Amino acid sequence: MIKGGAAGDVGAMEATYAAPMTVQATAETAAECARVGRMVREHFALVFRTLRRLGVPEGDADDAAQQVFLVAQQRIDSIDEGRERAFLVATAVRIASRMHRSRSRRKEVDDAVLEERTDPSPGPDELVEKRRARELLDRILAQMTTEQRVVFALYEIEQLTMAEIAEALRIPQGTVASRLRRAREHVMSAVRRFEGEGARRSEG
Amino acid sequence: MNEPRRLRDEASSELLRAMIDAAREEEPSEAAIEEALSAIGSAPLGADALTGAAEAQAVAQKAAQLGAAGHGATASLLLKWAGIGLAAGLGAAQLTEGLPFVDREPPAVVVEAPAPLRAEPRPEANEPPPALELKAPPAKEAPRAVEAVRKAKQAPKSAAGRLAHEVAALDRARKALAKRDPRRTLVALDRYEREHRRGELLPEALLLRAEALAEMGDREAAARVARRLVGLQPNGPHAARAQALIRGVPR
Repeated sequence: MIKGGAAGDVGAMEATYAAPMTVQATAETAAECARVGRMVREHFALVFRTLRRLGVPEGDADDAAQQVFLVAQQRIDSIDEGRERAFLVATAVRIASRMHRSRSRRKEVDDAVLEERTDPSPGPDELVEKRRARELLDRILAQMTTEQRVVFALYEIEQLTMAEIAEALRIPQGTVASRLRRAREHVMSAVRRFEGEGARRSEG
Repeated sequence: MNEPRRLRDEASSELLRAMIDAAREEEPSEAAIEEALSAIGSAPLGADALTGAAEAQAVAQKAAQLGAAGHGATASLLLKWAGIGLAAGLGAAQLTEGLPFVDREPPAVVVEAPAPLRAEPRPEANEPPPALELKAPPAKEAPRAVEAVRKAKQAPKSAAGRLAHEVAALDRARKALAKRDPRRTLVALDRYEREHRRGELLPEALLLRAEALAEMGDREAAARVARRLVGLQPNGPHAARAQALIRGVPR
């Protein structure tokens, strides 16, 4: 029983509660760490793919994804239960954007890699290969604005709902819808163009 | 608001479907996921993690004895490795789901990770690093390991956080070398050196680089890196192996 008022009672309260509070603090820490671990296991692939579709080169995507989870670990207290995915997506978008700016400034090897990737038009047979298909998609996505690209990747590839995307990007759902519409038009147009070129090649 | 059908489901273009399928199927490697778990200190509770923590504990005890006997330098070196083991081992063990570290007995001797592992920045890369000032805290003042991990979490830019990151980065290089994949080893080491220009584990990184170059058959480059290591730590723990690499002795 806890009594208030007297100084002695305060001391008794401290003695009574000091140990349980320490245990509680450590238990909270362990629980938070376990939560970040779960986030890695459940969402690493989503974060990795999102980064890739936002133009992060394959060789950097692992590290960038890891960065996303380190940020999540630092801010775990501010991530509401059930909103982990939105937080991770938003962080991935920021990190991809930062990496893109950094690469643009550096003009290093990555540019050469991108050049290599985007140079020759692959033939229809080669497109059967998944890798080539992804590369072609990335070429198409690279021609969009970042905003459209993010929405397209999250809706069409990761199959998030428009509400989830709106929450992650902190934009209205109407904006998500309009960006998605423009992104889809762009993709469809690029695919039609590419298929037309392929048909002309095979006729020639 | 109505959700439009996914393009994958309504597109008539085979090419478009193939592109979206391929993008959906892209997966990161298991190693990348493991590394991320390791970086956040939540690797699966494997033998390595437990062994690392246990060995670190034993080394810390030995260091405390040596420190008490006046062997400061040896104790410092031992404590450095004890701290690394604890940072990696305890970090991995403590965060395992279903088996929180707090349920286990705390270690008898604990090195508080952040303080002992800090070294002053080196003015010149070629100069030998200053002696690390590491002190074993008295047993009764030693914080619980979980508290050290908590502090590391609260201050991720602390020495412990950096060190755990260094350990994870070098671990990837070490694993690649163990698989006789020198190219991947060098990629991992490039990354390590990019991220940790003044890393605590730079000598280990140099040794791994020399080993990887030797594995590739480039003995001249291996010897060059090994000489750099010897110049950095002429009497360090890797000096003998570095000298062997300079002489071109295979592993």
